[in-house]
Amino acid sequence: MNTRRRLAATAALVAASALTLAGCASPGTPAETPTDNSLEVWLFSSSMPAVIEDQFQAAYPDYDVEVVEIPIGDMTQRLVVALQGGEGLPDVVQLPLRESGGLLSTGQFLDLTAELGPMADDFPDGALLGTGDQINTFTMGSGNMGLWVNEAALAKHGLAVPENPTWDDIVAVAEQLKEASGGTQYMFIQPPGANGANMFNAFFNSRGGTWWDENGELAVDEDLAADTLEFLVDLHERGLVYDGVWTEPTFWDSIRSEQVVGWTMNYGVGSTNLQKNVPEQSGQWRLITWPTWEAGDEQATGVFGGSLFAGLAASDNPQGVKDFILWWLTPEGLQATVDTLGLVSYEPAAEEIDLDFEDPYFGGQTVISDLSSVPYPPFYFFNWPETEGAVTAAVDAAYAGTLTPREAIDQIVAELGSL
Amino acid sequence: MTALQSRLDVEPGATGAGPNRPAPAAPGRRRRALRRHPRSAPYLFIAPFFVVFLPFGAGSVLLALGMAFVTWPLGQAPVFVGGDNFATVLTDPLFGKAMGNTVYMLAGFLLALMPLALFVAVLLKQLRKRSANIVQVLVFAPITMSLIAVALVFDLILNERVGFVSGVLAQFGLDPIPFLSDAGLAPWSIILLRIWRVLGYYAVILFAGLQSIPDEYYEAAALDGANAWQRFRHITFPLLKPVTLFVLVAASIAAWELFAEVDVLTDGGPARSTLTAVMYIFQASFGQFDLGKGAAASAVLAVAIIVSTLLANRLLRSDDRDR
Amino acid sequence: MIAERLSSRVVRAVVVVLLVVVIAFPLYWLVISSLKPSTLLGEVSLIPSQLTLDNYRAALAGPIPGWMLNTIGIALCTTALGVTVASLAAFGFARYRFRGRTILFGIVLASLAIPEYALVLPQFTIMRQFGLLNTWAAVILPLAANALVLFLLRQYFAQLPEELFDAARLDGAGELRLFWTVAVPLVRPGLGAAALLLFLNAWNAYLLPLVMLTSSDQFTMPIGLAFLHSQLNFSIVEESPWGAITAGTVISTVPLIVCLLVMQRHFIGGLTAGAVKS
Repeated sequence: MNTRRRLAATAALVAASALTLAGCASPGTPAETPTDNSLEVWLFSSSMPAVIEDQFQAAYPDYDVEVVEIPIGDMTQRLVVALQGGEGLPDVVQLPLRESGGLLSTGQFLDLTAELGPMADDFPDGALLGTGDQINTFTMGSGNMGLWVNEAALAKHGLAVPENPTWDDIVAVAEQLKEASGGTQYMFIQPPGANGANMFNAFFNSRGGTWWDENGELAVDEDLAADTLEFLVDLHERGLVYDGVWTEPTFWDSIRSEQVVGWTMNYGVGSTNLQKNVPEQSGQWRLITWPTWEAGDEQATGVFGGSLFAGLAASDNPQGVKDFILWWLTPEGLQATVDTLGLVSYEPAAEEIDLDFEDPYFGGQTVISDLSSVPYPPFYFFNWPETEGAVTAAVDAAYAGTLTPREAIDQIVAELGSL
Repeated sequence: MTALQSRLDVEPGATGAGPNRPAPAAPGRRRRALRRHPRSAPYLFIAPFFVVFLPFGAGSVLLALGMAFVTWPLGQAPVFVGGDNFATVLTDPLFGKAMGNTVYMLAGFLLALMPLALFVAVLLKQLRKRSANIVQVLVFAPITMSLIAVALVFDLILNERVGFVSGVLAQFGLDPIPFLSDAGLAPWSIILLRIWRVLGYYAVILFAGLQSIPDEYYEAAALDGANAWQRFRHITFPLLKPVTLFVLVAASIAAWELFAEVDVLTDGGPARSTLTAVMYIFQASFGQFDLGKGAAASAVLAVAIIVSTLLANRLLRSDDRDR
Repeated sequence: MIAERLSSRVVRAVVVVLLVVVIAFPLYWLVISSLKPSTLLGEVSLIPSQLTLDNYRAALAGPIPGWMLNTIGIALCTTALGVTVASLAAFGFARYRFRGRTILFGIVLASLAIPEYALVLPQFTIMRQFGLLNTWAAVILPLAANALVLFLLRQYFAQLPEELFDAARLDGAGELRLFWTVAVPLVRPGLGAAALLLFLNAWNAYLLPLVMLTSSDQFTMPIGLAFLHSQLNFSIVEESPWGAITAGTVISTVPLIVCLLVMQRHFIGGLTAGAVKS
């Protein structure tokens, strides 16, 4: 039958052309078969590929390194798909510290206990990460928090932060600043959403607080958490807090116009972004290491985040993975960490490279070594999506006044307890 | 599922009854007309689509449904757990909250979008060709833009402290509006943003539908002295019904699966007021690595979507019967 | 009478202007943002105090043109394949009664009810089975089999009066000819809308290209911009990404606007009056 044949022929033609169309439009390289010396690295820090391609390759020219960049928010998802999908896993992956707890506990990562175990004393407590008895990696670019202050703007009102301040001292200055500026200038910020929850966590952590212990068991000091939240809510109610977040350009305008003259932040976001966004305020800012809660307390700060490299247990090139991760502890690697992430957690680093360099933006202050000189108590990022979600919701409600600080903490603990 | 197909089923040549439709053919005549094609013809027409759809569309849906019945720890083999994941999801207050928020935002969104989109489409039709083109490009542009950039612009305009709107309000001695930081307002800000983004897109689809309505009907109606509303009521709306149904179904499915705007603007906050069903699914699957739970939540959401699609279909059908 | 017509014209003009202002205002803000130096980004003023093309220069010198080409390529292939298969299938579903018709159409439509985040892992597994990982096909094929487009086109084909086809059949036309010479010209607005939908979908697709393509030079526009943006939150960046994001966004609307205008001219607005006549 003529019609039917023509119809069949055309349909086949369309299907075939459709497939060729799709096929021809595939310039992507087909997955190469991994050889022993290939090393695929997934990372989200845009400043790192150059460092790896130049410096790591110079140290290990035999490895065939391929760097794949992935947005930070998608890294975990991408990894889950590759793990369960059974193909396309990298050899090494950069992970946000906050999301590492749950991932490392799956046991899918290369065991580096033999290499890193003997170095345990070279790292602060909690910087070595792994699951059970196994050590997989260490924290890089640790998110030690500091208080960044625009001293010049304070001085315009005849104000200054005292030496070795407590939080009460800072609040007193913030009150005077509010008075002097007619309520238009701030020493504290409270970002909305998850950033706000993590800001709370940093304050909580600086007093020794944590939600989880190293085994992933709930280990929260509820009174301490409630006290800390009360402190922040109180700041809020007294009108001492700017609600904004550094990812919005409007935040930098508020810095530029000296609405925000103080904020608590880590190195990567705090120092670098100030220099980049408000270069004209060079010389005005100082880093104040984390204030104490009582005069005479030993100084401790909180952690805001960080990142790490972890090797996949399924890698075809375990030696390459080890070489890669440990390279970051060589002098070149440590310097690269400082250049791309900021702080190093490896304590002997101070002897191997210059961490005491003076930063002209901060009036010659040795920002990196000052910030790393104040450690943070161990803080474990387990069940992080649930934890961050619970803390965000409760902290939001406490700031909005719909929950008291105590009720907010109770709500968090109830949610975390049911996991 | 059978109910869905039969309800959505449009009789050949019998949709959108209206002036351009000939009187229904006598059943016997139609059957004869339809018999004249080779029996394989329809299958050959649909074959190319299914060659692509079966493996890459239907196949993945089946696997996703299967995933709802397993627990699948990372890097290990999946284990069958029956309905456990469904029990977990259905008893999780967070999932209830997420579904509630989703329905709330969906309702507000559709109630505002549908009349607006129809209005814009009719407006486009009435404009002269050149101005219609300019307006069309303008209203369409938002959907083409990266959400990240959109979020930036909205921050610059709506930011409570330094945004443009706050500045204007301050000129009149008014307080700034906490668009995204107030748990009551945040869902509405999301709805507003979503409408701003998709209004032109749906309006253009409806506009394309309007182009298929012959001008003669409008000319005849004008001769009869019909006013604009009567023309809309008796010509545009009935003849546009198939495309309107499409837009309603497409917009409601997209609203059920709302995620991107929330992810970029509020991350589900403040105080979970904008946590949506898909955000819950995303967090279960890729935050908690509980793929089974995520798939079970997806299956529950799918049931809700199918039911609401049937409702949308009935809504536009029952209207038919009224006349 | 004249006064009435005049006032209705005025009302319409006012409504159009209002609509355009509300929708265009954020667009205007985006465009001026892309023309500001990044330190002035937050300046709240309708007319910027300083304008520069630096952001565009930087965006065009960086990886953005490559991302654009990837996105355009994927979107064009998806649109071509998607319109072809969906229009044939829509014609089949709308114009014939056959066994399995309702079941098959229901399955296609029901597949829309599963959100993409639940589908991404299954799709990855299937692409691995077909050996298509890391190729454009892995992104194009799932996007091209678009159930919504099939639904839209079926709505159009179903509207055509059967008499048209009867007449053509009496003239001895084959089924494919009915499709091509009778039906397709009459549903051109629908085809235009369908093409637009497919192009836009592929253009804005995030999850599929993210998961299926691995190397950074295969980034599509949405992923590239998200990558730039994500640098803000955690680490040391060389420069503020906002310039590249705003300029990149403005540049990336151009292909879509062109697509809209082409569809508008040749399909959506291209139907001559009274073409649908029985």
